[in-house]
Amino acid sequence: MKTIIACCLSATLLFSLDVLQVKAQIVSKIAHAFVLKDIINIYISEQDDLAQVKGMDSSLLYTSYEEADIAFIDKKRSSTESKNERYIFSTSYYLYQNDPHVIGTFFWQKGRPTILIKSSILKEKGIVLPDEFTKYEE
Amino acid sequence: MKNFLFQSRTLFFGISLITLLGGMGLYINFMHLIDKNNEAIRHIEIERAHRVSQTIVSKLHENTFYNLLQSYKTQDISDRISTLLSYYCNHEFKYVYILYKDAKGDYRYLADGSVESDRSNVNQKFIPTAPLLLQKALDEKEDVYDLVSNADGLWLTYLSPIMNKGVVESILVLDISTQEYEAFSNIVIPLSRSLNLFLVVLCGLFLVIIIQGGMFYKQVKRSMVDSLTKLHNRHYLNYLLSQRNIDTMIPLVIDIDHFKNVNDTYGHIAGDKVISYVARQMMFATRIGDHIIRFGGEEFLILLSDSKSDNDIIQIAERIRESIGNKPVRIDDTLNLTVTISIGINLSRKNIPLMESIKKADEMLYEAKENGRNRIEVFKD
Repeated sequence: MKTIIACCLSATLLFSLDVLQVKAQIVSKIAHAFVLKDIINIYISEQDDLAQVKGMDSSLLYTSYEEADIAFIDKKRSSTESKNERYIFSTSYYLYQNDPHVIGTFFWQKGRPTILIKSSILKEKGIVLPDEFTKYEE
Repeated sequence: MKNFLFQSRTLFFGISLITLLGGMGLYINFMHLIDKNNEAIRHIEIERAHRVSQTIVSKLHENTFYNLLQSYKTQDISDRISTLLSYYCNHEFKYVYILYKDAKGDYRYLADGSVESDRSNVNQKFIPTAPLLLQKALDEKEDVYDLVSNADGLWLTYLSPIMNKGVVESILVLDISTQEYEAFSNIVIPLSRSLNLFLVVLCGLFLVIIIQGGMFYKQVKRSMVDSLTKLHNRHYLNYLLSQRNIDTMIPLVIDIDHFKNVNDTYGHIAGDKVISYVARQMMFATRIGDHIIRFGGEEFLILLSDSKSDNDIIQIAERIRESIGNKPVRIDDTLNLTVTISIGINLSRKNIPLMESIKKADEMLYEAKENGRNRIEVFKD
């Protein structure tokens, strides 16, 4: 019992301290699942809270939206910017639902990470993700 | 001396052990108390969650929009139910929402009473961190709860199935924040750390006391033991005199005959060898419980238990005298010396102070010397 409580407490405290690290890990995992390159060009909107993870993974090179292999956006981009070869993730559920170019979403809700991926786009583009992402597909 | 050392060592050890055990007992009790309090807090939280969930479920059943929502999962109907749920959201129940299981087996939000920034849309897919728990609530149609270990600021999640005609149509979820638990932990953790530190210090002190006790024991032993013969010395006699039940012991005062001549003729090294030899013979002749003390330069005192008979005591004295006189002392390869001893015994069983008794035995020794040495003189009442 003591162990459970201690684990729970430490996990809770650690988790609360390391939310940023968890976010950085998830961003890294998503990027590496979609883009099969050692160094990935990534874009995260400066205004987004997620931008705090910048620099936490040396394999992710933060670039402009145009040069990015994968982008995490917080507002809809113009269709000319949304090239097919770029994977677009949103940081809000609304954008995920309403922007057909957005392939997935990652945001922090109710103290937990929420990840959702559109399986229709995955099929359309012939993307096969690691098994651990299956539960996020819809 | 053994008694004295044993007593002082036991005292040291006893006090420190009691302190250490007390500290450990305190620590175990404290940890047990923390456990019990944790249990109690959890129990209270679960009880509260149960009551709140019952209230919400009954309100939902009364609400026509909830019934409508089961058929038409639209955002505006969901918003009305979300507003109802939001009344129950507070610092304790951080997130209150309803989930349903779709045809594919995925869990989705039906309504969410959380604050705007955390509110999920209707039909938004919910990725359960503990899918088995949700399934359990559905299968067993009973309230279930679990500790939440991978969410920020959450302690427990409480699931209550919402039934309609015996069928679970959705699940009410209450996410309980760590606030209550942290309030308790904020008090307990520093206390627990202090207690840990206290226990470490106590263990350290215990170790120091053990080492100090050992050193003290060695020092006391050294101060009461004659370095040449390893017999007790006068300090020990002084200690004995302070003890109870010592006055009834029978004293034998022993002196090596013509020892001055040995020292003057063969030197101090030879003298020391003679003294050591005599001491050894006395040790062989006596038993545990008897005390042998190097009283002076070549003078010894043996204190025998009064339980021995007069004959036994005289026999012991005779055995010592004969063993020393009959066998020469080997000084070196070329020199063997034969020494004799004189013994004075006070066999008086009168309860007089030990020093008085020793004095009488000493007088008997003087008489033995006067009467030609290498003999025993006994005083009897």
